Amino acid sequence: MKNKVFTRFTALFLLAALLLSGLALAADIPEPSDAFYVLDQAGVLKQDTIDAILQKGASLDDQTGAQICVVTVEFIGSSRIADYAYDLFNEWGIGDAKKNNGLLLLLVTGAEDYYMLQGTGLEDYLSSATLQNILDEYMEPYFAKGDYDGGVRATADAVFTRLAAYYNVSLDSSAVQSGSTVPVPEAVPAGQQSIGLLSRVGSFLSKLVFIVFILAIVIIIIAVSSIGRIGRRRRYWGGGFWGPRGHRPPPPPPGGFGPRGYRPPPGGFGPRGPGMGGRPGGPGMGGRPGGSGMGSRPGGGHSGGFGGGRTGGGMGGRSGGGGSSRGGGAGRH
Amino acid sequence: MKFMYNRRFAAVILVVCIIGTILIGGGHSLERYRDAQSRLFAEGTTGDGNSIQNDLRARCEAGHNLITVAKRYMAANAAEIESLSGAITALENAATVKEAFDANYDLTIAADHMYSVLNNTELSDADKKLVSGQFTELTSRNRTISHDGYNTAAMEFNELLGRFPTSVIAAANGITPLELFR
Repeated sequence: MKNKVFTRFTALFLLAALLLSGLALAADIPEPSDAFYVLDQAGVLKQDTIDAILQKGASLDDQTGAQICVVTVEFIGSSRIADYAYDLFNEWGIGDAKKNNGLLLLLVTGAEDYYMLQGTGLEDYLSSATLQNILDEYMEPYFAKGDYDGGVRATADAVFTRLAAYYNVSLDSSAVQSGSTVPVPEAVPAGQQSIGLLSRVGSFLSKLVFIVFILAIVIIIIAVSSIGRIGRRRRYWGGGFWGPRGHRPPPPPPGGFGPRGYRPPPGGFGPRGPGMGGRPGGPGMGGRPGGSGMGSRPGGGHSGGFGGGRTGGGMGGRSGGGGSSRGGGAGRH
Repeated sequence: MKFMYNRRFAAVILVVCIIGTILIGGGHSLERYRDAQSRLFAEGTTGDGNSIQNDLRARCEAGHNLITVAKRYMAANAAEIESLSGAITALENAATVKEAFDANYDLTIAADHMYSVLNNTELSDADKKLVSGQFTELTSRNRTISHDGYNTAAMEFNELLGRFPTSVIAAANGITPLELFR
């Protein structure tokens, strides 16, 4: 009983610690905006730039599932921009979950820095070398002059053009549609699925080996103890080694045992139970009630991760498609 | 043959059989688990072919491209070219995870030095683009390697190996820990 309480308390404590650590990680990454494709926390983008990115972003997303997000922030604390971009990309789940065709353009104005990161599915077409060339050509000339809006506009246009060519779609005339039918699968942070699976396999194997070992010890104990029982008289009255197990007592001698002995009641025994010789019918051997068995735990396995994509910032809003990135990308030299 | 009817003897045989089964069966399972974990280095953790080995291969390619550009502006036997070329060769020929890590580290140093030299050289616009792109490719692959799940999987296996009774089974079967890429 004490063990169960302790186990449950430990499990609850670990769960709370995991949740809190997840919250602590998420605290540094901003929430996506309702429109998802642009988050201008630094306030450096003009409205027509934002509108253009939203329009083209929605069109690209609707037609291909690819998502391009532009995020501007002032500071990212002590994080390196590459790591921050990686965390944000996977937290938001940019791009389609299966195609992993997301792209993030991140500006950190306070640090005078920028970074572009592609999803795993775009690593071949938009390699880090290609992203670097795009940034060198379209972002840096504006950024060096402090024209963040110009740099973002030019870079976003270049990337949209390349992706539209890659997918052979047109982004010009489609309007942003609210309540899009693009499915939003549940996102899992990159790499966490398989790692979680592998850790489960490893943990399961170690438990299995340990359980087999314990079983072996138990069997040995049973085997060795059965040696010591040779020649001993088995006692069924009053317990003995196994406790009262309902073994049938030997019949009384014809004359009874005398004053201390067994004496049937005056009226006899009455109706007998199912073959138990004098006991009322009951649940069989009258042994221990069924227990919970060895090693049983309440259900609830490792779900493979937490956080990840959200189901939009509001009714009809856009959200991440569950894409992931391995963390390559390109930034300012 | 009286010992054949002796229960104590039977108990001893039972114990030996149980321990033997655990050691042999457990060793077999542990070996297969080790193989599965070690394959992650080449095959990746998500089954899509993205792995540390692939990233190292891409770094070697980027390094070769840098050398190709460098040879247009310096002698083929220049120290920077030989250093980078040697590091690439060592990485391509690495036979173990540890060797690959050491060679990759040397490649990083050689590539950094090469990039710094080329940056101070009058390159054509096209070659500037190439150098910038290829150096970014080199550094970005190191980043993806740093996020790869192989080390985590290898550490989990090694931790399992250190725990009782797995440690006994591993010692009995000669199963060694996995090398980490670090």
